[in-house]
Amino acid sequence: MAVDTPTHALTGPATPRSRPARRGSVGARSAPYVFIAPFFILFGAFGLFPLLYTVWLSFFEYRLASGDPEFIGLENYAWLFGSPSFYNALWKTFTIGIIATVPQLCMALGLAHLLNYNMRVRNFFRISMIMPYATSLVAATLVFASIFSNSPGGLANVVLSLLGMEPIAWTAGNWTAQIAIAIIVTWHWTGYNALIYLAGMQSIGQELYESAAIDGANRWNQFVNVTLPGLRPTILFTIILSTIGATQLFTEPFLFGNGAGGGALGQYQVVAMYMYEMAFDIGRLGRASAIAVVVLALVILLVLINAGLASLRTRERPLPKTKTTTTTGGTR
Amino acid sequence: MSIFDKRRAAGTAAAGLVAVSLLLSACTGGGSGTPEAGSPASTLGPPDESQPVTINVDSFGGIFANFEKAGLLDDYKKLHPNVTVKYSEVQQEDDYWTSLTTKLNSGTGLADIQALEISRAALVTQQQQDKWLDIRTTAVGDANKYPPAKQGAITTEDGAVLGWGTDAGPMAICYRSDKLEEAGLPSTTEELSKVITDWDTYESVGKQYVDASGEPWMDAASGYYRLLTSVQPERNYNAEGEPTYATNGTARPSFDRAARVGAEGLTAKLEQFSQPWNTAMNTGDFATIACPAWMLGYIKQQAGEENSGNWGVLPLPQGLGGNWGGSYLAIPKDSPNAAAAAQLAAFLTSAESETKEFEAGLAFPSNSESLEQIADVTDPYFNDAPIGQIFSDGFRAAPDQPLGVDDGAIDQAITQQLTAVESNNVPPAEAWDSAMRTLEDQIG
Repeated sequence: MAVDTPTHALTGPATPRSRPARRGSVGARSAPYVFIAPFFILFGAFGLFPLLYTVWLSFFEYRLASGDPEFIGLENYAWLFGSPSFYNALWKTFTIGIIATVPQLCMALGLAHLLNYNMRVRNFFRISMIMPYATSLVAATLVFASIFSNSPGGLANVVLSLLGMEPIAWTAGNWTAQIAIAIIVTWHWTGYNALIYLAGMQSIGQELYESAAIDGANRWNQFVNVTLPGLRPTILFTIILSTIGATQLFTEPFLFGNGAGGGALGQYQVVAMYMYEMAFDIGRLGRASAIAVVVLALVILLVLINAGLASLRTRERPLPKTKTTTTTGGTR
Repeated sequence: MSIFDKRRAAGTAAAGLVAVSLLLSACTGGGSGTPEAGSPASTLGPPDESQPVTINVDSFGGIFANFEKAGLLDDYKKLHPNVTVKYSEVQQEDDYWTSLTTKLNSGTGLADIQALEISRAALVTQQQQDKWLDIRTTAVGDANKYPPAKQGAITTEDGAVLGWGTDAGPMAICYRSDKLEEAGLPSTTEELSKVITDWDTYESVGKQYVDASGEPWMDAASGYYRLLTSVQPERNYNAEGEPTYATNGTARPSFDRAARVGAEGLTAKLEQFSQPWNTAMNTGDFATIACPAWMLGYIKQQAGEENSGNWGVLPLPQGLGGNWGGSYLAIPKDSPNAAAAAQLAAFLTSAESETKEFEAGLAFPSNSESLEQIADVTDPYFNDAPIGQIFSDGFRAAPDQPLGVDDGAIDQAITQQLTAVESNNVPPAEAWDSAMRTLEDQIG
């Protein structure tokens, strides 16, 4: 449908001057809609419809392999909030999210700060930052899964034995499994976030650093007093993205172990895996939909909290600190 | 049960590489002139052999790749030149099942022949009986005969038979003869069957092995659980179709036995079908493994040529028999080529075809007649073990276990807790309670 429309759209802009061309003006008025239509058609088919359908389905008992949906009201939600596995999955999502996101963003910030200085082969370092992000997540996870193998021959255990420590059954332990997964996540996203920070830093005026240097600020002081305030909107942006990413975490833990169970004790079963297990291993689409809806609500809530906290802080800051340092960050 | 389903998938002798004809079976309708789709209740006539017809097949785990390797598809083409078979196959049954159920739900995109795994059979016969063709109504009928366990699983309450049996997974125990010899233990099937006379002696020989070698005896407690439960008349459900796993005489005792073995350190604490498990088959990190017939192909592939002659096959003690896995060919009711598809499916599952396949080193047959014909088949990889004899005896001795809709989830919850006992030192009783809680949460 969208294929033949561009001809209207092309004739559109030429016509407005000649009054009587009615069809042309319709074309002109509809042109923007036509241009954005492909996105919205695709969004409607693969974004909005599944979303609404999921919400609808969450009020039904619907088995993957058989039968028609049967309305059961809020029963799926009642079940969900009484399910210990759900709370376990939520908690794991939270802990893995924290141990993956916090070090990741701190490291990204540090790396970006270093990359922002003039140094030799700077572009090489900058480009190599993005390499993990460009690597296939599945391939990388499988490699990490063999690094964190339970056997004494796994690379991580070899390193531990060099340090004189006992080999660890990485996937079996609660924290070891979570840490291993967090390392995969951190490895994958640190460079990406570093580049975002770097872009943010380059919009901070060089003169701020120069005047700070004249005032006797060393690099650490420059980082704390110039870079960080200037980066506040960027940091907020990455925190929001990471929060969403952590809530949707799936590939790494899913491939790290063997299936959606997330270890014998569910020690790394994050909420997306629980949803997957419910839908495709156990085959209860209604319940899985209820999980999806609750997760969506949680993501929105978390983002709002994050945004709220961050905007509170940015509003407070400019007054006491004044000077040029905060303006870049504060006003945006 | 995702873990097991992945490979339980049919005697996938050559699991790794699957020839996939890239023809998707969507949109089969297409108005092919065959008019016999009509009257629902009546029996289906023989297909019109003068019209060219294309039969689309959706399958998994190398079922059709094996048919092709055994030359059966070529044979069929010679007999019926008007028929073209196009199959598309995925490796993992899990993925296959998810897409099949989506197609069934939406009512479009089904092929003329769909493969079904036995763990799905209860669901198919109880909840999808109106979606599949009763093979008794076809011109070829149910001429192919199967042992009760195989036939019973795909028969509905009303007696409708919804598929032809392809392969089966009778149980045995596979062992590393070289490792046993190193440990100074009996290392041939003959000697072993003298010392291993029941489960207790299987475990006590295991303890001797662990003491002598310092290495684990079996791969995983979950595999042992599978083995122990496969020989019992009832697993998770009773004949009335009620779930009885919480209280029956199979699940809990088998769990306790397997958990004890795991807690005593007889197992390698590996998760079955995981990468470390594959590797361990090659390196010999464990000495024995519960061994359904299709596991032979898996072992050959993972352990590799260098271990040829290092493995042996031991029949279960006391003449016990059990089954793990196997598949069927079924025809969706709306298939426009049902008559031609039925003829093909019946051919592929006939005694001659299944025998030919087993002799080619591929899937183990489930056809009763074929089971008689394979008695003297041996396998050089497994020290010329009389695998034909061992597995057909085992298959005949296998009980006709009632299957249930949630077998997969139940097995997964229980075996997951066995891993918890092995790897996380959870006390067995606590682990069992936790499995029951999970199940209440998931399927209750």
